[in-house]
Parts: sequence; structure tokens; C-alpha cells
Amino acid sequence: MIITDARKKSCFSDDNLIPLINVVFLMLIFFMVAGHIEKKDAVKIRVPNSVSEMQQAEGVTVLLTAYGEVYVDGEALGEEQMLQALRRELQQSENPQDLKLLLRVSHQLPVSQLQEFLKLIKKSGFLKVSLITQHKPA
Amino acid sequence: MLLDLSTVSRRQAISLTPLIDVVFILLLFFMLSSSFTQWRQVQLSSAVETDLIPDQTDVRRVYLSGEAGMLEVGGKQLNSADAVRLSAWIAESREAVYVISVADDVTTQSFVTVVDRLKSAGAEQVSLADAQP
Repeated sequence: MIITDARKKSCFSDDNLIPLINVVFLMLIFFMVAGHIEKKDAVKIRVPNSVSEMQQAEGVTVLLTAYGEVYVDGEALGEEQMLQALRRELQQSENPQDLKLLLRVSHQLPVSQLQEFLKLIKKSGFLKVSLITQHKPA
Repeated sequence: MLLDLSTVSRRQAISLTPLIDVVFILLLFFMLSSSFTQWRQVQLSSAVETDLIPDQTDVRRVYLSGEAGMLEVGGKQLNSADAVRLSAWIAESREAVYVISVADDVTTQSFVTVVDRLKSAGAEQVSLADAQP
């Protein structure tokens, strides 16, 4: 005669999963609330650090690597193609004067090269240009 | 003979295993795709040499000569890391437009650091110049 005990059976039941689920749920809620999902850059670059308090605003993002390569919307573009893409963005915008151009440039990029790039951007007609930085408390 | 001594007949609860499968997948997704980086922005206005600057606007030119953050201000050397001297110099004219010119080898990181220091010292308008002094 085999007698099974209900207490033994319970060690394989779902009840033991509840503490695990509690922890996993807490982690899930933390990542959902504290983190934010963002688009990955076409090329991994390190932007300059700053203590600036200005939050990143919405706008057209242009990525400029330390070697002078330009990416708009994850696509590598030449100078003329970039200007065309930026002009298209301005035309499609409801309020072109307030549309911001957000520059993500490598922290190693020489400023002289950045100045040349800014001159080029002026030709596209953008009036507001900002440099994206990573917040680093002082 | 098999005897089951569990007398209390409980209603079959929903199994938790599929639930935790889904929760694990969600957790993995959020762990891998979440970013905790805090992005900021530095306003850039590239000042072009022009004769149209109104007389009442005070323009103070700053030349950043290298990676060390040394500034040349009216022929004098000023270390931008020296917050006390920098604040004293900026306090003379807070409303002025501080136009930064840079040497060829200066990186964007050094430029942004100097902009931060000038703004922390009280400068209200900081700009990047196009022309070398």
C-alpha cells in the first residue's frame, strides 16, 4: 500500500514560485518605470560630458563621428544628401523656425571641424542648433 | 492501492508557470532595451564675424588655446579651472556675450567643459566663434 502525503506534494506546486514572481515583478516594474527605451545610434560614439541642466528637447538628430562621418536617421550621408535631408525636415515641419537640430558629436572631434560642420548646417536653414551631451554631475 | 489523503478538494488554480515565463520575457526585454543615460544639451550659436553687432552689446572674446582649459583673455592667461578668478572676471560684465575661439587641436569635450565653467561662473550668453582671433 502506497500512501502519498499531501504535504510532500506541495513542494512541487506553484506556491513556491510566488516569492520568485514577487521579485521578478518588482524588477520588471523598476526597469519599466526608471528606464526609458530609446533609439540606438547608427554608430556608437561617446558624446561630451557636461554639467548642463538643459534637458534634451525634441528635434532632428544628426550624428557626427570623430572621423567626420555624418548620419541622419541612422543613414550615412554625404554633405549634399545631408543638406537635402535637413531641408526636407524643415519643409515637413509645421513650425520650421522652432525646429531644433540636435548634434550628437564625438567628444574627440576637433572644434575646428565642428565649426566647419556648423557652417554647412547654416546653409540648410536651421536656426536652432544644440549639442547633445551626457549629464555628469560636478 | 494508492490512497490520496488530501481531503480538502481545492479548485484548480491557474498555473503560475506560464505567467512567470511571460514576466521573465518582459523583464529581459526591459533590462536589455532600457537606458538610464541622462542626456543634456548645450545651446550652440556659431557667431560669425559681422559689423551688425549693436554698440550696446558687450562682446568679450575668449581664446581657448589647448586641452588644459587655459584661456587667453585680452592678452592675459586665465585658467578656466580657477573658479574664483573666472567668477571675478565674469562678474565685471555678466550680460556680455562671451565668444569662444579655439585653437585647431582643441576637442569638443574641452570646449564643452569651458562652456560649462563659464556658465557656472555666471556668464549668461556663451557662443562659439567662427573666426580665429
